[in-house]
Amino acid sequence: MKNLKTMYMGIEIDNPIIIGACNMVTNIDKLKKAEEYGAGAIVYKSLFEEQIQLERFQMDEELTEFNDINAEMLTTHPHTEHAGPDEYLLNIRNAKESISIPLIASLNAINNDSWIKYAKLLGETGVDGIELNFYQIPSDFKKDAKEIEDEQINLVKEIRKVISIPVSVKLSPDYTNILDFIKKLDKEGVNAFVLFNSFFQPDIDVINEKHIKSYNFSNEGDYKKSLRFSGLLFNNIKADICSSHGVFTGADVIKMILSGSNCVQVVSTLYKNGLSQITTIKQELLEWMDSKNYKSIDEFRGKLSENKIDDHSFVYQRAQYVDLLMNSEKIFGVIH
Amino acid sequence: MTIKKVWIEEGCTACGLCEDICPEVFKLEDLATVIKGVNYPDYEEQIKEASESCPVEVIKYSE
Repeated sequence: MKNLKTMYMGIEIDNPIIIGACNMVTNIDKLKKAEEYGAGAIVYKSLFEEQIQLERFQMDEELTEFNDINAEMLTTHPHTEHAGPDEYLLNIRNAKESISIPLIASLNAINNDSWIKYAKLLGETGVDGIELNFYQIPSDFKKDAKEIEDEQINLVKEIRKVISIPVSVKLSPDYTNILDFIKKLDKEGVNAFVLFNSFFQPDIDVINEKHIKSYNFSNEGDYKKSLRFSGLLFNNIKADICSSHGVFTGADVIKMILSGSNCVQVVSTLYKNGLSQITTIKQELLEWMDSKNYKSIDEFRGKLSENKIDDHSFVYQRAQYVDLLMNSEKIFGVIH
Repeated sequence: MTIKKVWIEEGCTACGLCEDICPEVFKLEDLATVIKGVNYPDYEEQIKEASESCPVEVIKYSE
């Protein structure tokens, strides 16, 4: 019997396939199906700052809607059905009760007050952990990298003070030195890092000269940046490593674990192949382990990480590029 | 040009994205379905967005 158990955020999960935050598994039926198909854990769709602000705005409107009639009506006419984040908190509480695998909340706020308030509220819903999604596009020309990183580190410290459940941080790969930043967050007690989030990117329709709204799914093969940093981080941080972005198949999961990841998050492959893809990936992983005679994930996790290979500089760092250039004829043949 | 017909071809993965984008036209049951009796031109932009965003490109419409 193969043992697929691994760790995520310090929590033992039955297998390394985690459903990343998305709209695909929000209702109870879908959550149960995801569990039946064999997901190791589920990250519930993110609560965004925009939702929080929108609801505050709606609430303000509703609270002042009757001001011209009679201020006392404020107490008798609050439209409580627009609870917004409250409704989200109720949904996630119900979601947690409907499944037995770990359910992780995901938060993506902007203002410090929102981050801390909702991290605390999410922590009280019974979820197994909280993923802090540092999904942020720089938009301030006057703010330097250190200021942004210091703010995010302080935010983790503040959140750590108000919640006791495990915390993961989902990162963008676009930090000046992400290894240093992760190391600093690791010292603050972050329990796992998710490498990396997928940004919604703008596009333009040139015929109609307007912006296009479309979902940005990742594509097969997009996992390579995650693989690189998983390989560099293995055995260098205390936190668990979870690779994300472009993980589609069992082979992709195996690659991530060989590089040093504890687990993976999948989203796009489920949108493109359906929830049953979880079973397929799991089966492919089991078959590969069988063919290699591995009995557990730990037997091969990190086997191809940077500190387990002989030539440290060759695979994960710049030298591979130099090697590619120096040996291009050997690799690609002579170009006439 | 206005949308006259909307349909879903084989291959839906039941991801629910179309329903998220345009719940007035699409409903997710076991698979995504098109709600009958809807005046499609009222939701033209959303139908096109759902079609373009569908990860398996099975949402079709005719103008």
